[in-house]
Amino acid sequence: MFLPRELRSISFRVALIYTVFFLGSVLAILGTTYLAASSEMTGILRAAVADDMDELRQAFRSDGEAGLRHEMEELLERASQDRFFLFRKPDGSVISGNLPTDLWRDGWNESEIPADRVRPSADIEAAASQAPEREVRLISLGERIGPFEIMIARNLRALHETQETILSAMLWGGLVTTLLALAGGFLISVGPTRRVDRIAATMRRIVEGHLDLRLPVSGRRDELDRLAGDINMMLARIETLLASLRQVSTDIAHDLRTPLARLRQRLESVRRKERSLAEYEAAIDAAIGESDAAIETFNALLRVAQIEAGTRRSRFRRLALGEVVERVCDIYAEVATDTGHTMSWDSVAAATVDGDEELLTQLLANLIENAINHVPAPGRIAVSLHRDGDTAVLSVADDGPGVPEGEREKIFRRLYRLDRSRTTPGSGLGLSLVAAIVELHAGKVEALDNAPGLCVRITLPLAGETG
Amino acid sequence: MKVLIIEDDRSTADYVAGGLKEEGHDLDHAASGPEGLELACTRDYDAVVIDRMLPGLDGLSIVRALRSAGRDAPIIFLTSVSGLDDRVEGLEAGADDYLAKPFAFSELMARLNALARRSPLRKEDAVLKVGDLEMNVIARQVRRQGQAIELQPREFRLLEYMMRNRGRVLTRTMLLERVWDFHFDPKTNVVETHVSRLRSKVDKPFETEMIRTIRGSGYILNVPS
Repeated sequence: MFLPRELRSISFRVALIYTVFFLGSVLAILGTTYLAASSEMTGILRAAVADDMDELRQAFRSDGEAGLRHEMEELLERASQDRFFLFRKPDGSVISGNLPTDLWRDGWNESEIPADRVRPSADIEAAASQAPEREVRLISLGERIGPFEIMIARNLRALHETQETILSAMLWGGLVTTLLALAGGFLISVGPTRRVDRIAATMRRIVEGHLDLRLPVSGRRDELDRLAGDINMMLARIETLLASLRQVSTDIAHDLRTPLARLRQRLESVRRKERSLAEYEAAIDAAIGESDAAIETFNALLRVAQIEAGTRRSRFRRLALGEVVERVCDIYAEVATDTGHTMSWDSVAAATVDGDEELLTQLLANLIENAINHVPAPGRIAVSLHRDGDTAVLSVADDGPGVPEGEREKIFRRLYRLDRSRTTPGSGLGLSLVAAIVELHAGKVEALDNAPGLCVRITLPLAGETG
Repeated sequence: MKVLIIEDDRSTADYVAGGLKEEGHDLDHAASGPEGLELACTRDYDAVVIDRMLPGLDGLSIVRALRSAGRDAPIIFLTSVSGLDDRVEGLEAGADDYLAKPFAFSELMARLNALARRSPLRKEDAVLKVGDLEMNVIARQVRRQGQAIELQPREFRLLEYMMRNRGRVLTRTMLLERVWDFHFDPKTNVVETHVSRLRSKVDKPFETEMIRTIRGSGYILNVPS
């Protein structure tokens, strides 16, 4: 259906439904009035007819046939196009009256005199001339009094006129109400529809790639504003994610192109002229080393992605975090000694968490290795584990050069490296792996100033008593 | 050694086949799951290398089918590098070892050797002897030329693993997995540090060297020649 947008809007539909109910009640009120007025007017006419008949009966009872005739004469003087009488003998011969004899009916009746039969009386003709279809409708009472048959009738024109007035009031009232409701609904929906149109137009532009656009907010704090606000928040999040995704793709391409280019250069330079076997071997070893480094970066990226996907959570089991800390620190103590560092792990508290032991082992190993690789000897590395409320707090602190304030949050990003770290080994993925593992365990990771040095603090929820 | 490799990727299969032939081993290759399962069921192999993803029938199903058919040839399961869960599934299905792709041939060879020459009798010997080096696993004592050697628990584990695999090349990754339960590649010299500590206790005070470094591959513990 090709309807204007305003007519298909929710507010218009609401207005329309409201109109139907409103129209229903208007018609119900008028309908009741119609019925009440009809029965009231019929009652009045019937009472008038019955009164006339009573007078005739009264006259017959007190003064006999002469009294009845006299009373009848009097009534006939009042005969008119609204008031009819028929005074006849039972054989059908009319004595007097302004109605044709063949209209006689016994008892109460409502009857119509068709247009072709309005001739017999001037009063009927006059009554018929006022009726639109040129027919006369009567309410009549026929009764036998003494030797006569008497019928008294009233024209129902007034009743019908009233009924028609009410009916036309209903028709016009309904029509006007409907038109007003349609117009009102249209007007009511124009505003919201325009706002929705503006929102839709903005969204189309966003789909076209203008991710920096935001939906208009009117400031009225209504439901459209709340919706637009929520969508704007979502857009901001998507924009951030896309930006970081774009950054990561660029970084990956850059980080992997460098070793590949170096690999190519080495191979090319060794190919340029004939060399000794030892030189060839050295070149091949170097080439293998370069490709291993590239593969390693890929592996680390895939591992981070897989951990972020969260499927490992199904393998979680209850484990003592303290034991992991003891084991990993014990393994790394001698590595640290060999590199000229001092490693200490004290105040290791008993803490039970639900987690993946393999990943938590790698988490701590990465943090310790990060310190060993970035803190110049003789540096100190301190690992501690304590409980704080319903969380386990694991921290690895060093007294190295630390990380500048503004960059501390960025060190958990993929492939992010401080400028001075470009020359130290590592893919720039160790800490993003740490962040992914912490995220998987519903924990929190922070980089703090150890004054001097860096302190990475990890907060993990302790395992509940049950489950 | 007779090895079956079930692998649909032509270049990986050729790489493994070329290496094994150079080392003087026999090799059968199946490029699909059903073909591989049939070969593994009808012929005897010293080791079977099975890829995770295969046309027709996946690697896990082949491992399960072989084990439930009572075939006990050692199985090495090849996983994709991101397949952290594949490894656990592979071992649970009945594989003896796993290797993440892409892998170095030397790594595969070391693992094949470790599996294929495993003597079924030598399961949990309490006393291990290699030349003049003796280890009592229960009493947790180590002696060389009758002299007691004091070892830290983690050094003891490392030496025990090397003695149980005497004469075989043990790669860095194998040591990381079996001795320290590290399933990742450390960025520091964890293995080198610990092997050198062990050497200073087991080899240094004595005339001959038992733990040797195989360049580009790993370490080997052997009777000094």
